[in-house]
Amino acid sequence: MKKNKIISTALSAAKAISIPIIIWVIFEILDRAVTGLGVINTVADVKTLLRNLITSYAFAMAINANLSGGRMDLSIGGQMYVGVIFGGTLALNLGWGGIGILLCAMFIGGLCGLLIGELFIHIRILPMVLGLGMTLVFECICFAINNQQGVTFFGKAGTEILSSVSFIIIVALLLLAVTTFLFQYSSYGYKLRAIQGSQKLASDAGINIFSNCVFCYIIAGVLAGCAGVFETAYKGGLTPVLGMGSSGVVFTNMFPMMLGIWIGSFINNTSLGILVGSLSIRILIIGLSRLGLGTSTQNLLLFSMFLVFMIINTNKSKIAYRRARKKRIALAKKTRADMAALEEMPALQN
Amino acid sequence: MAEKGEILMEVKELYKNFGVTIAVDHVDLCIRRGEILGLIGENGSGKSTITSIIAGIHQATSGQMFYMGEKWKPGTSLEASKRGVGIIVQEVGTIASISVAENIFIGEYKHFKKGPFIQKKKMNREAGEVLKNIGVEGIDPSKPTFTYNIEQRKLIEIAKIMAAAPELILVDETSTALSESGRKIMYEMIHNATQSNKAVVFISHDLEELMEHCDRLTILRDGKVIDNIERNNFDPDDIKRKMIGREMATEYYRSDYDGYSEEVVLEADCITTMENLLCFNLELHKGEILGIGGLSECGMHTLGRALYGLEDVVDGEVRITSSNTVVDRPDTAFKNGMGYVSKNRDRESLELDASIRANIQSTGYKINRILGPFISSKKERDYAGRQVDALEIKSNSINQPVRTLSGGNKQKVVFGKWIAEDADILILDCPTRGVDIGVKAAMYNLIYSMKKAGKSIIIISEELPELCGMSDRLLILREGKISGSFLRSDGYDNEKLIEAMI
Amino acid sequence: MQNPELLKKPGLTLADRIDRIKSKNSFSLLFPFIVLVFIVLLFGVLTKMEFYKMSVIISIFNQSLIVGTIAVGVSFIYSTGDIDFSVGNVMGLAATIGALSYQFTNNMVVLIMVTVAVGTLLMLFNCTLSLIFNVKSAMVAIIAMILYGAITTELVGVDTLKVDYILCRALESDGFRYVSFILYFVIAVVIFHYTAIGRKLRFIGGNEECAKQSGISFRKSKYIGFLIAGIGVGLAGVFQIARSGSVTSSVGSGMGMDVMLATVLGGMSIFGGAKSNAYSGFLGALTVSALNKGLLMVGISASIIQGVRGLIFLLLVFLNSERPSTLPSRQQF
Repeated sequence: MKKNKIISTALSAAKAISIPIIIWVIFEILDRAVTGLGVINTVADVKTLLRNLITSYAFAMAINANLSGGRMDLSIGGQMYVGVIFGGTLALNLGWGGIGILLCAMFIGGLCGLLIGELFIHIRILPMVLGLGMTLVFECICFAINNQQGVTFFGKAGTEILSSVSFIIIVALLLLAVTTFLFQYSSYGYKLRAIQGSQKLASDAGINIFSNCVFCYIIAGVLAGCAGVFETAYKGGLTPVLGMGSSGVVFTNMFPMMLGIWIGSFINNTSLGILVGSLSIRILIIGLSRLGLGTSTQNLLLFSMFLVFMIINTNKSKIAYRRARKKRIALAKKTRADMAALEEMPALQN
Repeated sequence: MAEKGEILMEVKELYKNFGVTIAVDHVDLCIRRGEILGLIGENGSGKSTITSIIAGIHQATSGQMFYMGEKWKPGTSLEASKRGVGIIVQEVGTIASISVAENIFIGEYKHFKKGPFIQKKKMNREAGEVLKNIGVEGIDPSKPTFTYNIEQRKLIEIAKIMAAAPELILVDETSTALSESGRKIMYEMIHNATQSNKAVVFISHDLEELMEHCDRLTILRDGKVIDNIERNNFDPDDIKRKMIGREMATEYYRSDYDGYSEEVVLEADCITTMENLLCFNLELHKGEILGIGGLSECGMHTLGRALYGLEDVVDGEVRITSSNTVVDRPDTAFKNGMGYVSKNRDRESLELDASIRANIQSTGYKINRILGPFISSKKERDYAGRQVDALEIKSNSINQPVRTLSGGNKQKVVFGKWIAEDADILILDCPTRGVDIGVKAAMYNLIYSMKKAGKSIIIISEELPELCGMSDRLLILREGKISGSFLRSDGYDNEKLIEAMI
Repeated sequence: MQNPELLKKPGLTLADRIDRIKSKNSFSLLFPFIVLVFIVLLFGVLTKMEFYKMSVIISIFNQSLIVGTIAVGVSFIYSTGDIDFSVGNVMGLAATIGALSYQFTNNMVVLIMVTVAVGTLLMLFNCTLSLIFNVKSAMVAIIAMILYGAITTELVGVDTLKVDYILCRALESDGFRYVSFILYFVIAVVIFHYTAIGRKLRFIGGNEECAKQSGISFRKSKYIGFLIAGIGVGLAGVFQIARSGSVTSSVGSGMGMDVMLATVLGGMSIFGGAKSNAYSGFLGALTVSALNKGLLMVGISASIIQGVRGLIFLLLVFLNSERPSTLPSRQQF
């Protein structure tokens, strides 16, 4: 029995990791054919991939924290801005380096999450609407500090660690470990899954649905802060935006998240699935960029692929249904024939 | 020392109101160890409210409760359960997305915590033991609950309650969710419980079941206790009379033997659905009340849905004979004068947040037009108003949302919808479920007058008496096939019917 | 039957009274109007009547025209419980293709027809994706948003697309905008409230299964809803072109959110159902526009206005919705 389990786990893991590998292979071939460049050509490329990977992964996890509970929170971007700008500024002023910035941003991101979580459980308007309103507020707050300049990491002492490969890998693994524990082995995860099944029954059984919800929001905020720090380190700095521009991060990280959830469903670990999913999409994006197309064309292709993925994903149960249906029709026709034969028999006997 | 006959729970002058509705009106109850106390009454008599107050789901407005001699006022059902009072509720009591073990121990996960981790293996093991103890087989505690059907989930819920080793077990209308074998398990459990000097309060609509298993019966009406009867004095007619407070009208069901026309209006021609039905044939005649009965999984509900175009009919056809139209979608059925009342009233037959008016009007969009596509508000109001008056739907205003109505009135709204539209073929699935006797009688009258007006009606029901009382022709289904066909004119023999069902 | 004991109980608390008022049907209907009137009066006082100058009023109306038109159309989608915040990008793409068609034909009528047609076709495509391919509407909205935005950027290129400025001024001042808007608005409201379509859409939003069993053709109704919305979006695209005489590559982006805000502010739930109507969107758009203008005139700096708008928005939504006993949630994918 144990052997079977090990084999099936290994198979699932292989299936999961095959996805980024296949994507890599496809684009390696395409890219070399079109422009002569491979997907990864230099060490700098690996670094870039990893830096974007951690951002994508953390964001996708942040979106998932609430989306799995039926709440689409568009204010995650705004929380990121607040976390990075305020947290980053605070840490830099205190003379702390990269790790300090990361911790401060995650802390302030968590505070934002706490704020919006508490608001949600008290005023109880639709989460999407609340998210929209809070985005407006968060974006506005970011303008208030540093004379609308936002925050800059470029050239600041101690920020180099944020672009170090080994540090990024450590943080990614830490995130993976902590989130896996939270969702699968802790009482928080247990309560979360019960609430997702039925709020009423969970609450009757003594589970506090409100504190669990706030915790989800806090986790999302912390992850958003983390993602934002690495993104800002990559871009050099972060300037505040208005007009709901911050909600863009939600949309660009939907594909990694959805792919990740799908992958996660067959390795039974959503967190790891989302990591692999983010990796796959990052490779996909780099592969597209090497084809020598314009940015908007790349976006077009990327989201067309997302569309196709969503169509297949939502309809895969239909395929199983169709097969079952065909079988049933065959059985029906056979029964019909049998019954007709039975009817003829007495006539023959006459 | 727990002794048989010792008073376990005492309720004094219990009073509960929901707004202007008085649900429980100064009720006194005495629950003793080793005893199964049955509560019976119509809908709205207060029996469910009483048990939910005892179990901590609702709070009483006034009155006192004493549990094992001490004051008893649980704030939540979890609190009550921890102190030994467990309730098996009428609705679904398990969460489908988590595993069986997680459901069984849902309030008790702290028991399995080792540091910040939850020990799943231990949980699964202990859950398996609990299931074995109540005699349930074939359920794997590590699997998610949604892999099991409704009856199995109810058994899992029973396991959950028993895992907490309650002293007092409250069973609220649970038998309706269980099949024959499931009920056996439940009866065994409650008898075992009373043998170890626990106490059980048993609520059911089924008088026979109550008379068979209970030691005492308390009859409730309009929130008041009417009488307490000991087992050796059980008399069904007496009990029924006390439940309703008046003589049962002998014309509860039909008293006629009117026939029906030879003309076929609807036929199912060797239809096969994905589940249950395989090359099934059926004919419905004009002016006929066709009853369809059987055990709950026999396929009759699927049949009802298939006839209205709600099921995927993969082979064969459902046809409206007069126009030779194939019914493969509900809007085709509707356009051709068919109507359907689902057994899931709240989920499928009504829009709970919309007003009574809006719900009734939903069948009349075409009928209430005046100029081209424009709908006349006045016509709509009359369309709905007529039904509210004719059916005596009790409400404050026709604009109030349907969710505020009682079960019986909700069903009246559903009926009103189809009567207003003057459907020629009406398929009713469990039309009087959750409806009290007064409203039931009104509905039976209505169905009969529709038959007299030449409409054709199919009644699908799990209650044999109803089917026997109302049908011109009665088909019993077993495992997707017709196992017996009976005519009203021959008289319905209960034994033969039950034989066909099993 | 009144229980005399109950009647003697102490009076209702303030919270109870507020709840009672909120639950009346008319409250939801009147609230957005009251809010708008209140804002207008408030700023009238704060700006010492400057607020009531004709130029100000007209500017407020103009600002709300584009968002308002889309919001009126989109209410046909929201009432079924679908969400579509890609409408801004749909409008942008429609305007782009319309402007391109003008550049080819130099014909204003062609521009108008093409813009409206493209808007309608794109919305119908969105509908197909969610109906036939079963992708949840929120996901379709996200994908469509980015897809259409990318196509628009490609088509517009680095420059902006220019349409004859003089003709645009003519479109604007000749009252074409007002006439066509009012026409569309009236037709939309009539269709929604006085024909079966609005009722059917509301029912689908309230209980899909029940609507199906009551003989409502799910697909047909949704397509009609998206069709009407598409016309509105296309029309808004024409207004967009007329306003500035040119089309930039970022045209329409973010407008989907503004439309959602306007709809909610106007008193309608974005998840549809029994309380949906066709005019909330425009009402909300006017309110937002008036609020923005008023805050500006009072001297609040532009960067803070957004924050104030957000807070007021949340406050108003909270006041106008029934607080459920559990937390609202919705399966999004």
